[in-house]
Amino acid sequence: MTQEEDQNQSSSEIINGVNKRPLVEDSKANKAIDDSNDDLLVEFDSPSMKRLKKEETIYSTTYVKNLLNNTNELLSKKPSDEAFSQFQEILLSHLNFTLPSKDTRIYSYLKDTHNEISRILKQSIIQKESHSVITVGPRNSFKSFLINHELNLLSEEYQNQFITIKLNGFIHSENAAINGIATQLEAQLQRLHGSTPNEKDETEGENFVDDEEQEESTNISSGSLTEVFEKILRLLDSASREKVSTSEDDASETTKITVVFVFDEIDTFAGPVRQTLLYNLFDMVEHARVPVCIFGNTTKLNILELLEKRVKSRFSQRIIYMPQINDLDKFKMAIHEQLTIPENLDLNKDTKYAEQWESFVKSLLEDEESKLFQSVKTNYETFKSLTTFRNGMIPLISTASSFEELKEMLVVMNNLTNYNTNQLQASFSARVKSLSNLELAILICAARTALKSKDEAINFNLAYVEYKSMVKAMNSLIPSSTAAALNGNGNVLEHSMKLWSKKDVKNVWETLQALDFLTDRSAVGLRESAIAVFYASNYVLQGTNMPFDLRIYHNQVTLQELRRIVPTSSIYYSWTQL
Amino acid sequence: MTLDIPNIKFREYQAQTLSSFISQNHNHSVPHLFLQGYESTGKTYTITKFFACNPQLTSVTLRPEESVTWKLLIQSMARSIQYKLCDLYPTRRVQLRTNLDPLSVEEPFHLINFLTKMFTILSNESRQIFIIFDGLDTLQDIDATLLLKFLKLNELLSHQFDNFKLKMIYLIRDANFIARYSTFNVPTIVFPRYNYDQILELLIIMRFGDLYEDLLTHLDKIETKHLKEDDNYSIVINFITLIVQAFQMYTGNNINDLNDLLDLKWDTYLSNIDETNYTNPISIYKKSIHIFNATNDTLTADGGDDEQEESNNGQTYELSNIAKYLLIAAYFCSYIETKYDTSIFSRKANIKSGRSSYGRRKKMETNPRHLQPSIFQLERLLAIFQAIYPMESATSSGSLQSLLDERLMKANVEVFQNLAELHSLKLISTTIVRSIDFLSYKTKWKVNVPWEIIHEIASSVDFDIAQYFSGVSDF
Repeated sequence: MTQEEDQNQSSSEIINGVNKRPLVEDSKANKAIDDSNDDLLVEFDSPSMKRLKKEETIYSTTYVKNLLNNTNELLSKKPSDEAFSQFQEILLSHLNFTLPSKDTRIYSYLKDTHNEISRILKQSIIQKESHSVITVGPRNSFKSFLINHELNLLSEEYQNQFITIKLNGFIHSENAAINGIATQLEAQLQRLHGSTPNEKDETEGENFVDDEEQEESTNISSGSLTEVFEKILRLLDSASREKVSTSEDDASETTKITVVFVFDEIDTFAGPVRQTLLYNLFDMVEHARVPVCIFGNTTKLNILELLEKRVKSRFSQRIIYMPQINDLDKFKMAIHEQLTIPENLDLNKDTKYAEQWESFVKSLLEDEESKLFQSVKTNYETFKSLTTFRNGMIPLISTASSFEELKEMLVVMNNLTNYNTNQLQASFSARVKSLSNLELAILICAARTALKSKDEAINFNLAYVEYKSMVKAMNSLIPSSTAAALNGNGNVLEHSMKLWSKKDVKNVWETLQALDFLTDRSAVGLRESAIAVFYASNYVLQGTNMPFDLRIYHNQVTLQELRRIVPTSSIYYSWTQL
Repeated sequence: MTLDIPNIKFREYQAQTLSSFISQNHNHSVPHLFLQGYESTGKTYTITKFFACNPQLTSVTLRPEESVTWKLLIQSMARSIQYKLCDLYPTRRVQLRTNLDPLSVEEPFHLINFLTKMFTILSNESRQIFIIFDGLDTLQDIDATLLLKFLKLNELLSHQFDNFKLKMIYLIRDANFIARYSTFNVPTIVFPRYNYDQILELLIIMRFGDLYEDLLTHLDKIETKHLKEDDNYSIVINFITLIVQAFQMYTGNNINDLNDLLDLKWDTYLSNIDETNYTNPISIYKKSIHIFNATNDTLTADGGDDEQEESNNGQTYELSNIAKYLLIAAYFCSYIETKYDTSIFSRKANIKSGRSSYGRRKKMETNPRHLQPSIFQLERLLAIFQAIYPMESATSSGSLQSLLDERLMKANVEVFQNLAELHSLKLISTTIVRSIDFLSYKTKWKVNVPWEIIHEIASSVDFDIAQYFSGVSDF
């Protein structure tokens, strides 16, 4: 960059006269100013002073040419050796939990819970018992993961012995859930019938049932809600009969189909009204002839309190709380499991890298000085979240092009740091720093007005008056023109700050609103539900009727906070205290 | 398997990270991805470029802003996926179209059914589809549960289908929106706002080409001998730099706004280049300094503020005289305290006594007209209106007849009609929004216009409104 700067000194000088301060022309003088850090000059013009060097390079023709030429090039990853890319793929699949179920490794701290879930499922699917369980745990605590994992494993062996129906409280309202059950039953039964064909024409009597059955299975989801629900219940009852009949040829153990219900966000079905669906399903666990297993997942610890008495009494009271990691060693172990490929993975033909990697990760995790350990510790002390850590690790692992590079990356941990830095760029202070001078000035003035007023409410008028008076006060301190401000051409440079018109500042005010620095006092934020949005859109709020200048806002950032964010070199730093 | 990463200036990190979270192998693509960045930070550009570079990836882009409500959004999602699949599998087109009407999708669970049916038709194909929500939080009727639905949607689908995977990419402006869903730990890529230097470089890259062409044609027109290439370059770059320097404060770091300003001002700047000054950047600058001094991006007619006011004077808001005076009276009611009414508006000297007779008021710390209007009762409005409304007398003043004539304006039907009109124009409002009984003593009123407008209205009827506020604050 500096070379270019020197080379193109001449071409940049042509334009220098126009909009640069006279001090720029001589690069030595420029440097001198930077060094001496003259308070007055830097204060009054610091942003442009900082830009000077950059601009000089931009002015140069070659620089522009380079700029224009470099735009359409693609960055591609270098191809790497076959064994490594295979290793990398497996590692990424492992991180994303997309390895085949039999190869997936469960975190060891989940083992007990896993066994519990596995036992219940096996009891219902193999031994045809009915169960109901609710698992409680925060988001990303592997509730659904464990259940799905187990179901996948079981489906390999007992594929035709159970059907799974999944519902999600966020997507299915109570009515939709009934339809959802019906359509899923339909689809699953079709799959089952498809897989066991020609077994239905046994005896006349059974045939009749089958016809009815088939007719039903294609028509379950039609009709009114009560009809549909009735059909479902009837079907679940008759399914057992049907299965008994169809499998007479087979060994006697494959007699009944277990129906596994998995309800995510079961708390949304435990609403204030009736809870009919839960009641009927839990009732089915008790009475239905077909084995039913109900899994409910929720994040609410008080789920039992939400259930109605009659629902609660039908529920088995079995609640599984998802385990949490309680100490750093366990967390470290989990991270180790997360980062290394499961052993005895038959996909893994070339184990050369896997073993090396395993021991490498282990040694890094044990070394308390290593960056990996440090970031694990930071994560443990802040988020304590394996998922957060994983999100940061995916870019690291996927960008490596060779095993050596990957190891190097894990030592340096630059990618993770970059990822975390990137996350922070959405923060409040980063946003303040991204403001232009005028925006910052208005924001500070708004914060000043808020501090002065009794209820911290501000409006555009008040903020603008504050801005005007601040600019005037500042300009009165500046001598209008000084000898130093005369350049070679005899042009007088204006040192005073520009006072932007009220109309222009309105635009800035809106930008600040868009960036969430200011919120309308009557604003309610994001509505909780679609119904709330619907009601809100039907009423005109008082606030929207008011003239723009007088609308009341609240400042989201206080003057004290601004004082900490605004750099001391900024021209507006002095404004950040009353 | 490796994806091409577009080289996007100042978004290298974002593009790189995108390629980590998105992969050709659906096992390696994350199911959900947030791209957060405020307006004009290059989110859409980057993601479009990314998918353009990698045509092997299937993507569908939705613009929630156009959908207004979530129902329309999921319908458009269903429709877009259907169209996409029809394009991809033209042989199955008929099957994919029959009995599958995207308009029947009215609830999230219908969407699941709809997609299930489509994916069942294509059960021997396999594909991952990226669904890009370009600005999810710009959906007008956004609520907190909508994203939850999308977050869980492909969980439900993926258990049924191993071959078709939906991967969602949400472009979101508001960081607070994402913070709400932080427990889901969705991978996020943040697009920070550009800074001054970056904007300048980007604008040069974006605009240099066409501005340079313009310049050459212009130079041909004014029949100058061509300058060296370098000098021509510098004219264009100088202009871009000047615009950024002059207006970056105003637009903030919003590259689109600055780009618009470039378009707005370029023609004027170009017309100021002639055979005398084209070699001298300083004189071009001096000649066209006016374009850098004002934004001029108003939507109203050309000309400065002063001219505009004059032209408006004759027909301000097309209000009648009575309405104008009513509005002025309402402004007084809202911004002058009741205790000064007698001294300001009463013509009877004898009721003035004590301090109030001086009409002196305490100068207030903040100018009251910068604050919210205070509420008043209709009676007070009518009284002040009566006091300020000039009655035209047919007889010459001072004559005996005039003594008979002189009377104050009555609150007649016309007055109330005008009042109702002002109310429906929202220039005056009541504290109760619905079912207003205008004449009820309980109804409280307030004026709903700022100083600038009332001043304009008052001057249109030659009423010096400012003098009523003298002493209260500086104007």
